[in-house]
Amino acid sequence: MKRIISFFLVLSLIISCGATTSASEEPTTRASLALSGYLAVLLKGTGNKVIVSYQVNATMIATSLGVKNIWFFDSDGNPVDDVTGSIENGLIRTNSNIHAGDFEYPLPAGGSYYAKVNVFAGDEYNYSSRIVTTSTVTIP
Amino acid sequence: MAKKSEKYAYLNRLTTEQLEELLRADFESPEPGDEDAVFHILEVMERREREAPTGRLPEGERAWEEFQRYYSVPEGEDRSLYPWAGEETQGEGEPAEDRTPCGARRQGMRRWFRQGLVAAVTAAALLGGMVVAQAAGLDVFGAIGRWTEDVFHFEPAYTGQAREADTSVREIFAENGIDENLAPTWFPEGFEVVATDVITTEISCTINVALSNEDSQTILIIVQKYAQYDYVENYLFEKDGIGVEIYTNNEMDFYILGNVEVITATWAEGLMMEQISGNISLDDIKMVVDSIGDAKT
Repeated sequence: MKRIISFFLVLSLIISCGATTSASEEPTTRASLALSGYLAVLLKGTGNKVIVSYQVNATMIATSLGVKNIWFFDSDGNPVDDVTGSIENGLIRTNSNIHAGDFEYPLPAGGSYYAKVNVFAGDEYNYSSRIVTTSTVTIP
Repeated sequence: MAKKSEKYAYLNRLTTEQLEELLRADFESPEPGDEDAVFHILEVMERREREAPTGRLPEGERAWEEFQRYYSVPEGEDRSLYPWAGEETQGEGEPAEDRTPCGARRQGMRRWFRQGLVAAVTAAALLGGMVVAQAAGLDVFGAIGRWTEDVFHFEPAYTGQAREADTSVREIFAENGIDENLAPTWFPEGFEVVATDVITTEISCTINVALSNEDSQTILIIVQKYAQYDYVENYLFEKDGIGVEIYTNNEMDFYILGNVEVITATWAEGLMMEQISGNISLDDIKMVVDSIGDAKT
């Protein structure tokens, strides 16, 4: 009798551990604790420059938010250049729920390019980031 | 519904060059424009010319004489006044007016206005640093919300009818040229405005108002006007796996979506989008939404 009870106890323990493991392996939803909404667009600027026009909205008054990185690619997907966001270059803002702006950047003339823009928002408790891929812009 | 003179009153603030650009863009647009707006522009230009003649607008008789002499000639029969790509492929017996580059019937000056109004309104807003939220004269499209498990965004939907955008805003919004009726007039007790922003970029003009209470709860109100419809469509909202609720305050349809601890109610029409979000209850969000609209107190 003792053995049977022990068997079922162990069996139920194994089952409960398996269920817990399964739950932790379930993919989490994409909802964001810090990001509310965002948009990034690549535009042609003057001369050989492009403009990354972006908007990042947070779910709260974020400690910092904006654009963490911009990666530029040619139309074949080859990396061309990249930019790291900072307060100094205007891509990052502090103590706000919204940041939007236009970032102008030179790229080699005579090519077509798109950008991957890493937007983010966060405070001391939460942090979220997403990557937005823009459409392609041609620089004559 | 505002009278036509009030509906297009904002056009009176544009320069003559900007109005000319509107007309030019409407003519070039393949989409049908707003005839009433075009006529209003012409009236404004005519009035200005009478008050301060510049020679920009020729006298009617001289203009007719030039048309008869240079354009209404046998060689120009069945040919368009302006060149376009489809002209060389025009079939025998096919009316010229039915052929356009996009295959749609040419709408003349209406096309100028359609695109140019968007450009000029956006330009005026950018130059003045103010959001011109009066969408009168545009073919204002409703917006349909689309969502997946992870994100929500708006898609423009052609309604077939022009509707005026209700863009009144109280207090902070009113100072920036937005009609008062877009501003909520009710908030849960204890909330105060802690921050405001007016941000203009190449693609949008944005008004942001942030409210907070002693418990560090926040309500964020953002009104955006975009330069193009596809920017409205490309703006993405983060959301959780719970479905989206369509909620109406009897004037506007809001989409209510959850994002973990935050609830967002959002509305879009034409180039305008408004979002109200906060870590408050669903009932409170709905009461905030209910306070938006004509003569709400």
